Amino acid sequence: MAGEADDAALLVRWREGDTAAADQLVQRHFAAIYRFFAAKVGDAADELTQRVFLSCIEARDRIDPSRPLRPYLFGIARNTLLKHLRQHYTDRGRFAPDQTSIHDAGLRAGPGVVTVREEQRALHMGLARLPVDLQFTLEMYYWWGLSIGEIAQATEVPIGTVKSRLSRGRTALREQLEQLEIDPAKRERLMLAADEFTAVQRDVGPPAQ
Amino acid sequence: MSSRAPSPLPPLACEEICALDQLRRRLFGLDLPATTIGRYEIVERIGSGGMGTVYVARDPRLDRRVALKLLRVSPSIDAEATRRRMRREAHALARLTHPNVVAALDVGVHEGRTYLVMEHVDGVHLDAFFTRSLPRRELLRVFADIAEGLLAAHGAGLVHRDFKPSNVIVGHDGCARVLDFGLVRKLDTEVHASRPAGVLGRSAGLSRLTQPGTVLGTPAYMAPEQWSGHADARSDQFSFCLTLYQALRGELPFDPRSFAGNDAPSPPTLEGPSGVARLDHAIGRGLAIDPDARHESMAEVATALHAAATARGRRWLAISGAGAAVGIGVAVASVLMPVGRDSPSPCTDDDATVVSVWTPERRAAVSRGLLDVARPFAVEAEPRVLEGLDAYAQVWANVREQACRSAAPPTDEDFDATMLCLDTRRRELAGLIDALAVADQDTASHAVQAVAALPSPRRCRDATHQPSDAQAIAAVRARLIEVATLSRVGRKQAALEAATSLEPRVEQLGDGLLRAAVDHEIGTIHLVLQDAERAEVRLRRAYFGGMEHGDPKTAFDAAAKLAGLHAYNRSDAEAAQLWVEHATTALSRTAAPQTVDEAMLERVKGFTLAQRGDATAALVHVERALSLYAAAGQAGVPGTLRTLRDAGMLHTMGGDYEAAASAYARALALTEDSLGPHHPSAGRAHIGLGYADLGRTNAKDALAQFRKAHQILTDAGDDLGVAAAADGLALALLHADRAQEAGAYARAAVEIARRIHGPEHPEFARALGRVADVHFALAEYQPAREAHSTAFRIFSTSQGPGGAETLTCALALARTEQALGESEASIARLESLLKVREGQPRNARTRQARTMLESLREGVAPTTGSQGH
Repeated sequence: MAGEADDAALLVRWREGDTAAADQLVQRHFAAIYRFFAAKVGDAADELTQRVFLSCIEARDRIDPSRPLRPYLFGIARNTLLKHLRQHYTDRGRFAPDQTSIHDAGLRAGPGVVTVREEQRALHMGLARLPVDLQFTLEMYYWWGLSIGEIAQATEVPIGTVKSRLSRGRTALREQLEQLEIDPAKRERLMLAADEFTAVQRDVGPPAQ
Repeated sequence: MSSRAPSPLPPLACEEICALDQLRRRLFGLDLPATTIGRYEIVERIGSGGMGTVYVARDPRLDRRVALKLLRVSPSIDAEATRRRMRREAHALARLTHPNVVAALDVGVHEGRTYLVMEHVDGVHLDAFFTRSLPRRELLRVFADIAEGLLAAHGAGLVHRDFKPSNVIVGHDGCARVLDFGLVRKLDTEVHASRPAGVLGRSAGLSRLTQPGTVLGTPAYMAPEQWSGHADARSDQFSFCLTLYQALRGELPFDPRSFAGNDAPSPPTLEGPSGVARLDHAIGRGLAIDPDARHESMAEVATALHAAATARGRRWLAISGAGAAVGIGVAVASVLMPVGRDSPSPCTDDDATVVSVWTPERRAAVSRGLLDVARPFAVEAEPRVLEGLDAYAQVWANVREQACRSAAPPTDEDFDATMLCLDTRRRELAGLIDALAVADQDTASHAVQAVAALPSPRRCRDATHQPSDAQAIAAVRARLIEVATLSRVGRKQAALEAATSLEPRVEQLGDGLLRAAVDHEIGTIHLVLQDAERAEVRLRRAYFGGMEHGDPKTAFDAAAKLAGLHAYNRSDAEAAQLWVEHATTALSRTAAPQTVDEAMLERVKGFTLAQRGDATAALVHVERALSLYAAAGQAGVPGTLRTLRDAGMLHTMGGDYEAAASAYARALALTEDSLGPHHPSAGRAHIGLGYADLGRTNAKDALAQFRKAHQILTDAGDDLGVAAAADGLALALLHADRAQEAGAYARAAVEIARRIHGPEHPEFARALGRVADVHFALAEYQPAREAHSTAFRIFSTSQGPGGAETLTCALALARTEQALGESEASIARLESLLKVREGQPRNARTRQARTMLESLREGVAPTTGSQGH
């Protein structure tokens, strides 16, 4: 990103009324937010991505330029997703992010834009069966490379909770992969890959052309 | 803990670029250029599925909306082979044009991904469509359409492989079209391997989510053999029947996955979903687990659906509830059979053959009838008419023989329908023969065309069962045939009276189909009699009645005529265009559209575009109409003649007189060949040729053409034609500076117009204008002014003060007043003319008016004079 202003500088310029800076921010973070949704809600990704950036624009003057922007955006994205899931969960009153998974909510978790490889699909499906809180934490940490502190910021929970969610999430994912009757050797490979987040990102990274 | 820098994300895919651009437009109101895929500008995303993302896009080259499907990339090793195959299939699909298959328009590659461009259809997917409480008959009709679409695609070597409700779109026009042909090829072996053993109890929706790899197919609708990777047209048949069953019963009969891979599949036992025995049998057979046990093709299923869809509504009412099993269906169907089995079989009954109406005696009577008219064209028509009737009788006999031979035993309800249809054709033939035997001049001049216009018995092969239990309806239909015959032989007034006398009976019967047919017949007569108001009311009713009650052919005829009415009589291109669309819809629903109907549609498209002022585009359709009519053989001759006249007129309007002359010359040659050189139609072709000569400032040749026309039309006793020829002669003579001679013809034309149209009719005003031109040329300004004034008054009343001819007439008046030295009157007239046109774009008339006004105000007479027109 040499030569480009960092998020903080862009945010400051935007606050001073520079729309071009805002546009640059949107272009910079669009893919992350869009892919976050596309893998979970399919066709609704367009709309939910718009909502995230719209609320970001409304909150312009409340965003803290000294903190990284992406965790903030994912925080909004998480809230947007939860709202969407609540609306679509057949038994609305009983939707609970620490218990209900995207799969339980009956959403068609599309594979994104391209048909990914079989094991990627399996990992994807395993994640979709985890309670949303665990899924989000695992995805933020391994997929998008957020630090534990940043995840705590996005989910508005203490750091200890994030750590415990990461640990419980890994166990739960392994169980899901077992239930999906994924070949044990493959399963281990997937879990290994999950440890090496860069590898996950390369292999399982949000689907794209 | 420090922030861990994420590694760069993979680049944005097309879908993401589209979404991002959309977002930036929304957030910042940015005026970004349209995102393009190939040459197509993305408008909006309308969905995504297993195969990719679908957009509404705009094709800038043709400025039309299209649907663009950007296919998902499968990272398989044979991606290139997949792409090649997909392109090949897309091209095959592009060659297939069928009203029930979404047309493929283009296929291309964008950033390594294949995209497919299809016609954009506004409508709903079938699954959404059949949850509505739709009349059963309408549902069956939709499925019959779909079956036709599949049948046509199979005929072109295409297999769908993923037929399901969401792959059918029902347009707002009511027409169903199948989407996504052949895009799914072969299932992942993975799907096959991980197929659960007994998923019967699980809902399709759940298993769709839980199945790895199901993005490539929709298991709930797949034929059992597809699980082992095999698919052919019979697999589509299975999926179709499954969908149909679901639409009729509200649930799937079984889960096809439970049969996948079984070594000894046993066919499921089904309750009759439709309650109509024949259709139930067809569905049951289509759902056979063993592909070899299914129907040979979709044709059988389609036929059963058509029959059920056209059966009268009460049959459905007679079935109690949806649970009717096959047995009940059979009972009901046989109760409602139309004809008593005791009547003699139509195949052995000699009275039911064509021999009974086309006897040697009647042949002689027709011959005598025509020769007695004692006009040269009638003498020429006689052998042609006899030949035409001979041929018609032969075709009739052939069709009947085929029907009798193929039906063994002839108890099928479609066989009855064919016989009923043949009987109707025979009555029509008899009616025409009777009319020709006592032909008058009018009848004789229409004789050859009337024979050509007899509906072909070949159509009866596709006739479907329509039990007309009411004898009364049949009786009115028979009377309607007489009306059609009268109309066909040119006796419009008599036809109108006969048709009107049928009306009370039709009201009483309350049969929608009959109502539409009568409206169409009466509307057509009004149209020919130039009564646009009444014609419009009737034809509209005929269209909507025909569409509502399942007679798209009548609806098509009515819509095509309405398009013509708006384009020609009303100069309303918008309305004409709307009716062209209605006509297209109706034709697409016609079970067996005839070439002449397709030709008619092209012709109507042509003159609608001409009315819009797009002569070039109009001529494309005119040419298409001509080749279609040519393909229709003898039945296409009347249409070819009319279309050639359209072409001539269009070229004349567009100033291409060479092309106009060539079109009229073709019309003349065809007339001489098919109707005889003395037929009034030949006279009209000569008139067209005359105008083409005038356009090329060849007054001498024009004069010869108009003279020939005048001669032929006088011999034929065609008064309107004589008036047109006389008017042409007057114009040509004026061009040749022989105003004195022109006067006699112009006055003759005026007299005919007065006699036929009356003294307040625009035709009379037009003729009067020519007389005034002659006076002007002879410097007889006072009588010129009187004639122009009368014409002006008539045009002002009929076309309004801003009408084209009103303005032309006002200009001529101003010029005459100027010549009379009444400059002030002239200036006042020109000023009021320009006032009427105020705020509208300039045209030749207003420019002329301005020039005249300026020169008058300067007191200088314009240097160029003209006779006007």
